[in-house]
Formats: sequence, C-alpha cells, structure tokens
Amino acid sequence: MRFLIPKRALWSLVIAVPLVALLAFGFQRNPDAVASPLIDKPAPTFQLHTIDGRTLSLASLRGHPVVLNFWASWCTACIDEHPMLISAWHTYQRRGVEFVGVVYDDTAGDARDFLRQRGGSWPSVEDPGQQTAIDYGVVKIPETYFIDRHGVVRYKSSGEVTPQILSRQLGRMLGKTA
Amino acid sequence: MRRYSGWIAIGWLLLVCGVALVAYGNKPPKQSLDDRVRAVAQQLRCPQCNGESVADSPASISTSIRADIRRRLLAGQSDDQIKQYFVSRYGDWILLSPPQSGIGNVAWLAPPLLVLGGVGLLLTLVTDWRRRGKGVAPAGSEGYLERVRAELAADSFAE
Repeated sequence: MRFLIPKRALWSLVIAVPLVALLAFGFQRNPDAVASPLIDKPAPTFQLHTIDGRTLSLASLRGHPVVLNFWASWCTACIDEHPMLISAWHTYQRRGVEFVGVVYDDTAGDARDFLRQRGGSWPSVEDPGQQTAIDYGVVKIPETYFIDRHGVVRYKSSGEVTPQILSRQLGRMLGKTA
Repeated sequence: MRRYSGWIAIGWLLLVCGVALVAYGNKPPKQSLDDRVRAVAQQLRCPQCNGESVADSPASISTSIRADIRRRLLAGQSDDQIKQYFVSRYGDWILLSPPQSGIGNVAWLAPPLLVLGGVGLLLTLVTDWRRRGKGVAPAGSEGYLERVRAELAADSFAE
C-alpha cells in the first residue's frame, strides 16, 4: 500500500511523458511542410507557356541553378514573400541563377496584373491542368523548389521563402557555403 | 406429389443459386472507368484539404488529380502504378491509409496493441480489486468488525 501512490505516479509519467513529447514535437512542425521525395532526384521536366505567351522549358535552363516558385495572385503568403523574391532575384540573377514562377490555380490575366503592380521580371508560366504542380507534389502554395545546375532538386521550401533559406540554398548551389 | 413439393422447391432454389454462382461468382463485376478513377482517388489525400480524399474533394487540385488518374488509366497503367506515381511525388503522405510496410506498420499495429494493452490493464486492475476484496481486513478494523458481528447476532436473535 505504501508503494501504491509512487507506483501509480510512475505509471502516469510513463504514459504521459511520451504523449506530451509527441504533442510538443507535433506542434513545432509546420503541418504544410510535407517532405518531398524529389530531393536529390531529377527535377520533373516541363515545357509551358509563360503568361506573356512565350515558351519555356526547364531543360533550356540546364547549367543554371533554378528557383522554381509556385504562386498565385490570390495567395496572401505569396504577396508577403514577393518582395523577398524580388530582392533575391536582383542579387542572384547576375550570378547565373534563374527564377521561374509557376502560376497555381490562377488566370494569366490576374498573374500579369499582380506582377505589373508588385514588380518581378522573371518568367512565370501557366500550368494547365496543374500537371506541373502534381509532378512536383505541391501541397500548399507558396512552395519553392531549388534545382541545381544539373537539374537535380536540392531543396523544397514550404510556405514563405526566407532570406536565410534563399542565401543558404543558392550559396550551396553556387558552390559556396553561405 | 404434394408430399414432395417442399423438397422440389428447395431443389429448384439450390439449382438457381448454383447456376447464379457459376455465372457470376467467378467474375468480379466489371468496373467502369469512372468507378476505377473513383477507387484510386478514394485512396489519395487531397493536398489542399483536411483529411478529405481526392475522390470527395471539390478543390481544383483534386479535380486535376482525378483527371490525371483518368489519363493514366486510359494509358494502361494499373492502380498500383498510379498510386506509386503519386507516392513518388508527394511521399507516403498522399496515401489515406499508411502503407503496410516499414514505419507504416506502426500505424497498423499500434491500435490492436493498444487495445490488447488496455484489456490487459483492465484485467490486472479487476484481479487486483477482487483479490483485495477477499483479503484480510485492514489493521485497526477489529472493533468495527466486532460491532457488525454483534449487530448481526442481535438481528438473528430478534428473528
């Protein structure tokens, strides 16, 4: 009887601690950050029309690191991250990095208006049937894929891309650590 | 003849059932393309929704995925090949039921193991309670027991 309470307390701890640890782990994770099986695999190819009516294929960018950004004019997180992309584009386009936007579930007209108002001169392509989004396993925009100069996916960013992610990933792909 | 009519009816019934089994039993019902699309889509998670399948979701990405499944079925791919394609793009996350291999086994084995553990715990507790119920009275209760005995004896004399 004397050991009943400590024993119960011990059992309660044995049950509660892993549960609390599991919850703590779960709450710290971004539920939209689904690990991509494409990392270190060849990037799915595409040949699509830009919102300006030109044709763009991923293969034509071989030899350059590519920042592939899935976005839409209606997506508030895309609006928030846009200045960051503009800043990174100014910095890295001179170093051979190509930026490509893939318009997700949006019209070319709305996408053009968005870029006209907010800037951003890199090409954006339409994705009829969302086939490219499916090929890349896009879960929730904005999502940004970093493709190295050999056409291999090196990183996937879920949600707004940050300056830290951009500098770390592009630095890595350009052959520097930062 | 009337005596055998019941047996004849049963015989006919068995014959009809037998013929029906031979005719339809060996062949699975032929699924239409829509049924096959739905069957695959029901196993996939809608990427934009919360716990909804691609088959049930009205989201545009689910519509696109259903169209992609249809194209792949028409191109001759099997259900497993199509599921494998989606897993290769989204990971196991896209499957509504976890795979029965590797880490996915945990999700399948955990519920029955938890139920077994619960039943075991319940049995242990019940056994413990019963054992304590039959056990020796705790120290210090002798006086109380004496009173109960005396009252019971007084009752029996009163009767």
